[in-house]
Amino acid sequence: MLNYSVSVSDLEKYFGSMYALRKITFNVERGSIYCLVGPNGAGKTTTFRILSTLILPTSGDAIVEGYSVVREPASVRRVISYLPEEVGAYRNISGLEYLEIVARIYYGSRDIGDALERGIRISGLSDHDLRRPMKQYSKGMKRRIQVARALMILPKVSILDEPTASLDPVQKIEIRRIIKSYSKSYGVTVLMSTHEIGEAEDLCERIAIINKGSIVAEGGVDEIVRSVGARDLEEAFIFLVGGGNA
Amino acid sequence: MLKALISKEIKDLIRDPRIWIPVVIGFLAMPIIGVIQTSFISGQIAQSAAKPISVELSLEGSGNGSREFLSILDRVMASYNITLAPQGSFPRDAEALVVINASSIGYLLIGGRVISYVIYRASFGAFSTSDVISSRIQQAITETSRLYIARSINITNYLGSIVSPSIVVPAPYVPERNVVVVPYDPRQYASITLAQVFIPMIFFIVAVFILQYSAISMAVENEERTLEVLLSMPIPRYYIAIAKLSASGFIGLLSLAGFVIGLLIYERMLTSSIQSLASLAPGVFTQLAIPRSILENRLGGVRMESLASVMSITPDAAAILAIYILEAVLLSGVIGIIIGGVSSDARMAQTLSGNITFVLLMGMFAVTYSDPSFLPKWALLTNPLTGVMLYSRIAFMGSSPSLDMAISIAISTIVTGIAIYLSGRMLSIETLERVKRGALKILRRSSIGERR
Repeated sequence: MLNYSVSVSDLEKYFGSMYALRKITFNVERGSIYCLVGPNGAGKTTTFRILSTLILPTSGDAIVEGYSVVREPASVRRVISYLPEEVGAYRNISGLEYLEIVARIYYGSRDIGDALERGIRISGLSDHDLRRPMKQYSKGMKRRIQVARALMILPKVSILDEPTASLDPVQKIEIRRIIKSYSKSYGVTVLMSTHEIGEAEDLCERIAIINKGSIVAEGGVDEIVRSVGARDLEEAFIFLVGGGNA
Repeated sequence: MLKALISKEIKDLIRDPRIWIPVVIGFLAMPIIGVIQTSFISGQIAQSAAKPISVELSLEGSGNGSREFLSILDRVMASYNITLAPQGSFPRDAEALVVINASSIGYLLIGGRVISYVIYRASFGAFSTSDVISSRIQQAITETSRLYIARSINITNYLGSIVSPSIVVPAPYVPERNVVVVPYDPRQYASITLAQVFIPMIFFIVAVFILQYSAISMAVENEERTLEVLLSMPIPRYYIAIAKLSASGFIGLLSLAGFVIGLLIYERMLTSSIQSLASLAPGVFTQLAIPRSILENRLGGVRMESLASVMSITPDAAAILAIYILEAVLLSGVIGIIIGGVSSDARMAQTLSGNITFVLLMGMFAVTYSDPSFLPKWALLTNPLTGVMLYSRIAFMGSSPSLDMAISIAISTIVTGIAIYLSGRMLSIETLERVKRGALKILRRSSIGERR
């Protein structure tokens, strides 16, 4: 199990009498990019919130870099960074101040220069923009600051829920390039979700298609396409979540 | 890590224009209260200056002219709407006891002054109006002395030229404590009363500010969904609470500065209002002390104490008050965190905290202005928010804490501890969402019930 960076087994989550996850199981190799692909309400965000120790599973467990999200949440938090799907920003502090504060939280009294430089590079914002209060940022700028915040600290596992949401096509390509490059250069395991099949094909080494709280297919892109006899991943996805023919 | 978090909280709060609204209100509140209160004091003084009063009169010793002096005094007092009460009626029925040194009446005709003592009922919180009654009696004695001289040596045409023929020593008697305040100065009373009421009030207002700032700060985290990011970071939960309490405390101190400036303006207004009372009877605020023998003869076991000692606070009572203040500040911050945690946005947090603040303020005023003997002390003293107000009144009456008091403060400390623990437990998405779902369920049920 320790060969995997993330190992999820029989994870189940109920909100009252409504289920969100039904015994899902998957493993993510260290330093790889793994995608959860599924329609809205499929259970992607619930899975990520459990892995980020924000909520507890009803049953089952997940091991992140050797730590259980149920029994050792504090240790899990030390090795992950989490980017929620919808996250704003502190309105009255600048992007640069925010990155500094986050770096200080992770690095304490150690030098934060390198981390800050990485953050500024990932954000792609100008010096002028970085010094403006974040309430003046566009949605895209806020997203880029949050992606920068999640990656600059070089976590062992980065959990990114729709990292390219709200970005324009050029920014999307840039952020995808950064995610790929950070995963390869620094050995960061990336667990991400996306609605965009193209993004999953471009970025992810393995994919899990999730629908109504269950994983309906899991493997490499070719593997999934072949398993349902589809022409491409999009067709396979529609077949798997729509219940129709490929 | 904690420093970085606190810095984030302070920067985010201090740059939020909404935060400055309570600071400005804090600055303006006391001067506005001052305007209302001084006009209220003027009204009360006018009422006290006109209402009929009864006075017991007593002569100490013997001397020439006493009978004639008393006969003039009786008529002058009638013109001041003062009636003479039977012997022994003070302090139960008569408002004041006037003791005139009989031998000093004779001195009036050889250039001396008549000496008299006015012992008058004065309750805590009503010294100012009692002072007006005392000053009416003093004016009557002064006028009587003038008339006595003028008639005795037949210079009634020169009546207006006779100045200061009497020395009148005022001595407020506090029935609640069986104490006569000597020496007495109404300006000193105003200052001590201000301290008694406003020291806890200042801390209470800071506590209310902290409650609101914590609630808004926490609600903004929900609104912007930054709480999820914060809670996924390697930060102990209590650090988040401490950072929020520290930032709110810092802004609370700024609000306090505004409030204190406003309070100083208010104090100036109140002091000048009291000084206008002093000008009613020149020489009334003499520092001469009333002889103990007079008091012992008339009031038995009465004690003579200075105003500062009557309204002083003992060191152990001050320590307990300090604990209450700290607990009140912590508890209000924690309540703010809980309110903000369950609020989906800043507007909801403001609505919730505004309503809670209103309830707290009403409680505070009730505790501040009610007779302590009618209050459910046990219930109020075990809650730090009401305890701080009630105990400040008890502490400023000069009494040392009892065993009951020690038990109450211990319970209130436990209450604060439980609240802090609960707020720490609440700092989890799981719990906050469970609370929100529960609240939604209740709201849905009640709206279905209404439709039916």
